[in-house]
Amino acid sequence: MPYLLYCVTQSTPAVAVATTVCDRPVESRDMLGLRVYWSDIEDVEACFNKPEALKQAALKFHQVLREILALTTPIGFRFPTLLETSDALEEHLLSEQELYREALTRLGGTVQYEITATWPDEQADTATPVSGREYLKRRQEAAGRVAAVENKLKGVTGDSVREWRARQERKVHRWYALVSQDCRERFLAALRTAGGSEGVRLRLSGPWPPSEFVAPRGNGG
Amino acid sequence: MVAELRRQLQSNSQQPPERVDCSEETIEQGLAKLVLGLIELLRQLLERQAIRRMEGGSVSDEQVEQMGLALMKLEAKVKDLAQQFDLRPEDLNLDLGPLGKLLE
Repeated sequence: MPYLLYCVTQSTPAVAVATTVCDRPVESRDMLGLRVYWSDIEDVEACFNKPEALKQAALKFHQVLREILALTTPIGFRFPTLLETSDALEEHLLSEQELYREALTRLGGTVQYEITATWPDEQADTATPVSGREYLKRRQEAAGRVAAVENKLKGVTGDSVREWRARQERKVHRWYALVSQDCRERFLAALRTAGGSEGVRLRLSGPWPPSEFVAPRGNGG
Repeated sequence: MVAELRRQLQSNSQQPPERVDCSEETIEQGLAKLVLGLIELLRQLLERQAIRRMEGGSVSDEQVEQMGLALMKLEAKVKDLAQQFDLRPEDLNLDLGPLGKLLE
């Protein structure tokens, strides 16, 4: 029976998860000094091969992670990660235990917030430029807009954020803040006092498991 | 440093890297994704360098114009080719597993 994997945590007492995915309960087990959370999925076809069922399962999957996050720091698996047997799970942990232990030690007691910035007026701004110089100038201005928001975010939140990471897409910029559990209120209060920025729409979501920070700084991410 | 990089590359992290899908039906799309992703990476690097040189004033007006036009046309071409292969812009940002995303 395939196993749907949720996450790995430190070897702490099991979190009792109320949410079910595909009507299957969440189970956990201590393996190699780590705790792994999973559900055995009876009917993979019905659960993941229909778009609506897949969407519901994905929502529940994230709900499971948030329930676990409320009590300990999980390193989540990508949804849906399925393993055929418990032997395969043990093999995976055996080969990756060092990576998980390092990440769980480094990220213990933290959560991740995501801040997404979009520039509603940029659509008109990036209409076909009339010249090569104009094209470069607009790119330069776009980089400047991102830098301004970044400076403001980092300035107002100060040392309530342990580490920042970012991802640039063409029209969206995402920042990920790694925040200690005991700094969450201070981080949120700092953002509330920052107020808005002209021309940019900022959206905050979280707390999430610190998945953007699993790879150590300097090794990507 | 090299040993650490090798370890990371050999490691199958909890988020396995994407692979080029070489099944018979999608081999063209898989290869297009890889090639266009690399071209987009180079284009972005060139764009940043062009902006730096423009800011630094080390290039003439004519050169700025030529660089800008070339980059603009390249961007349009990449977008056009990606559409032909049914790829979204975010599809070109290949997941390199423990090394992160290609276009970051």
